[in-house]
Amino acid sequence: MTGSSALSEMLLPALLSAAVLLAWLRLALWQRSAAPADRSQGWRLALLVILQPLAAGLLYLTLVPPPLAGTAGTMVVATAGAPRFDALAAGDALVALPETHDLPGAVRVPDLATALRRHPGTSGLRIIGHGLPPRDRAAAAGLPLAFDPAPLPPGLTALGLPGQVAPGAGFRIGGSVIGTPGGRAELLDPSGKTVDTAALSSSGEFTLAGTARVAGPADFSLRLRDRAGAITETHPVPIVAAVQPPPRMLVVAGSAGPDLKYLRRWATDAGVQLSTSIAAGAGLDVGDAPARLDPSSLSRLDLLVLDERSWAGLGAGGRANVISAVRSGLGVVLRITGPIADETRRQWANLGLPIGETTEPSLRTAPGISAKSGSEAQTALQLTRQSPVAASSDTVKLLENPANPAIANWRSLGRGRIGLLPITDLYTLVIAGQSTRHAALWSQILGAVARPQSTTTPNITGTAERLSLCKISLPASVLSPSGGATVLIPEPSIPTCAAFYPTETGWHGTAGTSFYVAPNTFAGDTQAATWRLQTSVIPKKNEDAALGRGSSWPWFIAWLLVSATLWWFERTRYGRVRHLDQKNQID
Amino acid sequence: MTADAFTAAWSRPARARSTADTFAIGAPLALAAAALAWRAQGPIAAAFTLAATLALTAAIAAQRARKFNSRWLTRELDSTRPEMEDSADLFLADPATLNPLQTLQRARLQSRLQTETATQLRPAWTTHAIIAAWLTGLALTAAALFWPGPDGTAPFAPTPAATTPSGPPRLISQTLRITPPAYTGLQTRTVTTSPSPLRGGRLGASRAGWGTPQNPNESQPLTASAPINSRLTWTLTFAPQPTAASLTLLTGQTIPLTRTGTTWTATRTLDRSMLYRITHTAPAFRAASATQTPPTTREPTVSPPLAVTPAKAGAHLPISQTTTPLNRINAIPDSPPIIRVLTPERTLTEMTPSQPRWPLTFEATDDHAITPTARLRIIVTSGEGENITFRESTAALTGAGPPKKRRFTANLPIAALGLTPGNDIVAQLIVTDNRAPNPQTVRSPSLILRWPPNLGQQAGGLEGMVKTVLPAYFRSQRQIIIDAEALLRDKRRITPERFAARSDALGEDQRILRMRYGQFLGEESSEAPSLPVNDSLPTNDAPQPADKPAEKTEAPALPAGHAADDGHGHAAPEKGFGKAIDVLAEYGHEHGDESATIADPVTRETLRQALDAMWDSERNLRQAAPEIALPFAYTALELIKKVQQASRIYLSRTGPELPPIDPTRRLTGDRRNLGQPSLAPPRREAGDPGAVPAAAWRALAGAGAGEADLESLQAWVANNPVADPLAFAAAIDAVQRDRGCQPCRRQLRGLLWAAMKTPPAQIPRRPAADETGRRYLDALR
Repeated sequence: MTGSSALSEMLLPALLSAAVLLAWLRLALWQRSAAPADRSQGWRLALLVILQPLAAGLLYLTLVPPPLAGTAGTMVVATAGAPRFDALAAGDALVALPETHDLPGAVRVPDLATALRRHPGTSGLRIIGHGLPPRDRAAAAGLPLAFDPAPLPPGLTALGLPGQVAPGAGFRIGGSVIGTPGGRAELLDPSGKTVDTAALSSSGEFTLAGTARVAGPADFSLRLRDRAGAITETHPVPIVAAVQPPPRMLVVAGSAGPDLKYLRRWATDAGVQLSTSIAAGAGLDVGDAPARLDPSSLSRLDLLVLDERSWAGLGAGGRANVISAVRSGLGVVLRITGPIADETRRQWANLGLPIGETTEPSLRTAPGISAKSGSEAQTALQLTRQSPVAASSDTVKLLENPANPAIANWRSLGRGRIGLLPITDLYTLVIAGQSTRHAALWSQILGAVARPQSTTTPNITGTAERLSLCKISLPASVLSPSGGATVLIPEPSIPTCAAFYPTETGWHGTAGTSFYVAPNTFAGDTQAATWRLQTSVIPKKNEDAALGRGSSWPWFIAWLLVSATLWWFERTRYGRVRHLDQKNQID
Repeated sequence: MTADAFTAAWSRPARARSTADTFAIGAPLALAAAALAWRAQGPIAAAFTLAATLALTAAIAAQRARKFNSRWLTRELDSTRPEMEDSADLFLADPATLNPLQTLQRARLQSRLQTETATQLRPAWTTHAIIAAWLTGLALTAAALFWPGPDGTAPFAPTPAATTPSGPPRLISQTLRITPPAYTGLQTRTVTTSPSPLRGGRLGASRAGWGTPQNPNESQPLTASAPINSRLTWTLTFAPQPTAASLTLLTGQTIPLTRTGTTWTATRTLDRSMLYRITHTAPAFRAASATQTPPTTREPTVSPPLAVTPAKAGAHLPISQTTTPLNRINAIPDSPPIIRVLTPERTLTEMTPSQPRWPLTFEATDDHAITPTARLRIIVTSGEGENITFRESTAALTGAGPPKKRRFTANLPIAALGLTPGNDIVAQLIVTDNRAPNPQTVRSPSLILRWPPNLGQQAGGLEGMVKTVLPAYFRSQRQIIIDAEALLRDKRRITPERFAARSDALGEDQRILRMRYGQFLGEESSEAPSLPVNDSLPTNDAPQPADKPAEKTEAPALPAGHAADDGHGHAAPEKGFGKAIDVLAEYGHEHGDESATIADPVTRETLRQALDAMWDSERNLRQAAPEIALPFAYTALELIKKVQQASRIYLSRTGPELPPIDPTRRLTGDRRNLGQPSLAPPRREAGDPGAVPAAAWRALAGAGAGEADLESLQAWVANNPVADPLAFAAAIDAVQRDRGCQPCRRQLRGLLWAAMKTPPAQIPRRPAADETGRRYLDALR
């Protein structure tokens, strides 16, 4: 359809131009071939020459009427927090969504889709206020969007929560606050104990870290304090910890060491299916069965932990096997435990993870799951870093903390990921009594690179108004906090998805998972979503044009008048009379 | 009959009817006005308004009655009576002025009027007006009386609750009078709870968020804290009166309540923190009409405690299926005094030359009071080297300052105490608080004033050669002899008990010395020689425990020849197939190898004799007979000296026993018979100890999603150390009573969170990319 319309768009002006040229040619031929008495005077000729393209133009406009001037304006959509007075351009329609206050001159509409139906020719939207609520984002998709955000109200404007968290692993939340300079944010665990606290940055942002415990939903909460220390706001922070499928991990080490011992202790406790192979020299392997790194056994692994000695001992064929296994999903972590051969350095630089120049081992502050709290800062341990990890544009940093930009990093290679860990003494954390942090660090490092797992957990998105639950086995029902059950009806087009309209806030349960329905959405999140909507729009001109064409009738009448004038003028002798008069006078 | 009399007689019924009619209309309106005034201003205004409106009505009535005059009468008679022949005015004229014809006519009319009555002339009731007035008046009055005011109450609103209470007995108020022990000096105070106000229904618990549990029809639970040994007096009122009531403790104990009039009282001394609920039995007739009780009020009898693993820890936390909440009283234990040393700043002070006195300042704090007098224990040492004696004396100090924070000051005269160079004065403050009946005694750290030993007599340049003398941790045999002789000298001056105690202490020293030498002979002793640097030495810095009960454990009976500490296990040998060869383990056991001693037999024999002598010496010293012990001690000293002069003693080293290295195979590359030692760490024992709280944690998250197994949780709490078992019991009870109570569930989950350990962090698995994502990743080369 688009092809044919493009053809007609090109063809029609070409045909009309050719017709005009033909008519001009004919005029010229007439002028030349006519008897001198019949020749047109200059002004008559000029009029005929002008009227031809005019008629052609009007015919084009009759066939393709221009967009209507009256409906071609943008619609100004007032959302929550819209300023009371906003300059409207002529032709703009002002509609107010239900979240707005009273706006003078605005037409109240129940939602944006209704407003678009009532104003069929809308060519663009201008959003004023905090942004479009989730209900209206689908309706606005595809329309050119201009967004004039209103200043956000004071208080918490955005809160970023993690998705599912592994039991025992750390998690981070972030958010931004407006209007409390010098304030603090605190994360409280379900027993009401403060687990992390952070000062708000100058722009009001904060990041807090906590640790999940057993699997299940947990009610953390966020508390904001102003400069004086008074509590200004408290918000629920729902965290769901879900049991993770245990990965199959192989550790191949060139030598034994305490770090491996505590790694194996943790991995065994965390349920990882671990096998170990530690070279003890003279061809002797300590651990489980000797590691076989052929393609079939590598495809059964989720994680492979090597060190520089075992990497060098793989041989060219083994390394090729490992790299091809990574490309199909395997995760590989290279522990740097000592000086690195130039060849290894070159090989990893080719893989995209350059290792920095070997220097003297340097001490780094141990990254903490919550290194900011006072007690943690006191017990911050110094870890030995063997070799700096060179910064690269396409790597992702791991174990960041304010004191060290990055300690480890990883990058993706095909479907899998490879990572570098230049630290050899994470075990000191356990010895210092911080085995929880030790486990959380390893969980973070290995979780970043482990083979992806096609999850069967339901994918729940949406807001308190409407949630979409996907990847669930239907029929199912949702249990609300008060005990009521709602049976989900599968969506006809996607049979594994269903919609749920919550009536209560709090923990809901379905199909073995829990999800939390928060009472409110934050203005900052709404604003950010509207920004995303604005940048994601690709205007579709044709459909807009088809939508906004006016009537052809006025152009047709004008063309008829012009054509009739032309026809009459070509036949009339007016304009040629002067020659006859002269001739008569001569005669 | 005069004209006036005639008029009066004939218009009286009409006047009466008119007046009555006016009042019939005016009275309801006056009543309504009075009611409005009463509502607006009060009863006095109402009375005034009523009087005023009635007066107004009377005035109107008088006005209306005035029109019933003679003219009205003639007009009425003429118009209504044709037989009057328009001559009624003849009745009103003076008879004297009438002409005969008029007189005749008047007489005729009079005769006609004989049959008439005046009542026929009275006007009719104005029925419509009266009905309208009464309706309006009654409506206004009712509105004034019953219309709810801004506070939602009306003065005459029907108050069903105010009627005599019915239904099962309900707790109206609970008053707890706490009388702390007299020594605390705290005031008696009263804690009162009243029933929560009646509400229309349960709050929207799911939306309510973080509120506290609310239950109408129920009084708020009482929470109080009181010093331990306080006297608690409960005063409870019920409506209607139950037949019996008691307080049931969570431990199963009950405190019966006695009735005095309308109140129920009980008294108890607080010995530990407790949770209790109020139970009562309903009057008998209520049971018959129990079907009429609304569903929200159940029969408040206590059901028997659930059978929760009775074998485990006595199941101290039974849950009852009642609707009454648990009340909590925390017992605050009396804390022992705390002594802070203000001067000197360090425990060891070196005496400056020509220092006359030693100032000491202590500050003692207690939660209630410190007794004003304290004892200062002063120990002065004298002597040199091994021959050091102690002189102990006690001084009484009087504290200054408030009872909770007293300051004790002493200024010890150094010269008067007899300190000599190289010796110490050790001072220790002993304070007691005023707890009754058992005052708590606390000792301060020991403070030492040391007169530095005179080292100046050594020649210059020899400082580096001066050996630092290590403290002797146990007395030598010579010291024991010296002390025993000193004890014998002091025997007359000291009490027999003191004599026996000192002799016993010497016996202990003898035992340590014997064990020390016994090691050279290969004697085994699991207990290391206890060094006499513990509490008994005056240089111990740690505050003494307040009153530690002596703990004695009964050792199990052992076969003859064995002691509990002879260095090997006495467990019954394992029996079974293949174990029969272990004859030694069945009929005896090894005492280690004899290679522990490598002294030559002569030396060993001498040492053994010395040890025998020490045994005898120790036995006699323990029996408070140092004079018998002394010869043995001398024998032992002599023998030891002989051993020391005889030879040197070597002790064997102990270490790992490695398999011998086969030198023929070494460095040959032969790997036969080499295993692959598995170094996999042992799996943790099966059975997750945190499974029960974790399951309860998940089940408590949602209301309907699986009911939490509270009984298992209770058993878990009883068997695991949790911070506050009473809080756990109360929270479990709250959830048990009302499964849908979201705040109760949240509180229990909070306690569970604090009690659970963080499991080892699992590895989070990132989700797999979809088809498009995989293609994208594959294309990234």
